[in-house]
Amino acid sequence: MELLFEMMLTFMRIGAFSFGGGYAMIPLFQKELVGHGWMLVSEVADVIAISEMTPGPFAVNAATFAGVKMAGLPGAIFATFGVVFPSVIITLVVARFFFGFQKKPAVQAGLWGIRPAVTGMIMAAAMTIACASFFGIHSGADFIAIANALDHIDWVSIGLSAAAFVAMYKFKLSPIITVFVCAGIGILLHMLVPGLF
Amino acid sequence: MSERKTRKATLKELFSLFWTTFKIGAVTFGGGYVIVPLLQREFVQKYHYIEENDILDIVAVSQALPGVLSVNACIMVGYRAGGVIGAICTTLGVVLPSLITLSIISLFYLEFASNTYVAAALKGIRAGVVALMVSAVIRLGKPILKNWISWAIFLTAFVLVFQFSVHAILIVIGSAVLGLILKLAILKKEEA
Repeated sequence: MELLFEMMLTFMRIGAFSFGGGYAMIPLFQKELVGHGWMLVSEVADVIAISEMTPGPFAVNAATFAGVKMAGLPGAIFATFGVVFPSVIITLVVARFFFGFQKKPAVQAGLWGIRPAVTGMIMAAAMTIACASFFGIHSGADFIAIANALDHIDWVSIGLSAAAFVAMYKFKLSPIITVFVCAGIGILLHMLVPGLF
Repeated sequence: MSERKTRKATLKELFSLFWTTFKIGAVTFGGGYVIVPLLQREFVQKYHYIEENDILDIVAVSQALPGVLSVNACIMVGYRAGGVIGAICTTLGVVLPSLITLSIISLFYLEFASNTYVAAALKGIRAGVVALMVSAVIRLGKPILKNWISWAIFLTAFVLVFQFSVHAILIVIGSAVLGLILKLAILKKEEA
C-alpha cells in the first residue's frame, strides 16, 4: 500500500511539472523512475518503443508499464491516476476561465494569431508522421533528412495514405474506422506479398 | 452555441462522451496531435459540442498546460460538453485504452515488439494517420487561412516546428503576442 501511494505521488509530480507532453516528458520520467529503482534505463527505452506501437500517450503508457511491473494492476491504476490527476485539476480550472473569456476582444486578438500557428504545428506533426511512413525516417525528420531519403520512397504507403484520404475526405469514412481498416490492409499486404509491407 | 459555457449533460450523453473518447483513445497512434482529426469528426461534426475554431483554441491551451496534450484536450472538450462530470468521463475514456493495452502488453512486450504482423499493422496505421492529419489541416485551415498574414503565420510555425524543432509553447506564446499587436495595429489604422 505504501508503494502504491509513493508511486501515485511520484507520478503526480511528473504530471504536474512536465510541460510539452509526449517525449518532452522522457527526461523527467527517467529521473524519477530510474531514481526510485522502479525501472531500468533500458526499460524506459523499451516503453518508448512500445509507445510507438500502441495507442495513447507516452506518459500514460510509461505509468502503466512501471505500475504493472512494481505492483500489478493496482500499481498501473494508481500510477496512471497519478499522472493524469494534476492535468484534470489544472485544465478544469483553466477551461472554466478560458471558455468564460474566449469571446473577449483581447483574447480573440490573441487567438487570431494563435489559430494559424497551431494549424502550422499540426501540419508539422503530419509531416513528421509522413516522413516515418513514406521515407522511413523515424527520428530527426526535417527537410534535409527528406532530401537524403528521396531514393527510397515507400510507394505502397503513399498509395494507402492517398486511398485513406479519399475514403475520409470524399466518402466521409470515419477516421476511427479508417485507422482500423488501414491496420487490416497492412496485415493483409504482409501476408499476401511477403517483403513488400 | 457560442455564448453557452457549459451544459448539464444527461446520463446517456455522459456515456456517449466516455465511449467516444474511449474509441478515440484506442486509435491515437503517432503522438498527441493525432487527437485533432478524431475530436474534429466526433465532437464538431457528429455531436456539435464544440465548433471548428474551438479545436484550435483547445489545442493551444492544452499545449500550454502541464501534462499530456491529448488528455488535456479531452478534459477541455468534456468540460465544454458536460461540465466537470463530462470532463471526468472523457478523461477516463481517453486513458483506459492505453491502460488496458499496456497492462496486457507489458507481460510479453519483447514478443510483441518483434512480431512482424504487429509491424505490418502499424505501417498501415501510420499511412492512414498521415491522411487523417492532412484532412484535419485542410478542414482547420480553410476558414482561417484567408489572407497573407495568416498564411505567413501558418508557414512560419510549420517551418519552425518541423525544421528547427522549436518548442510548441514558444509558438503559442509568440503567435498570441503577434496576434495582439497586429489586431491593435489594425484597429488603430481603422480609427485614423
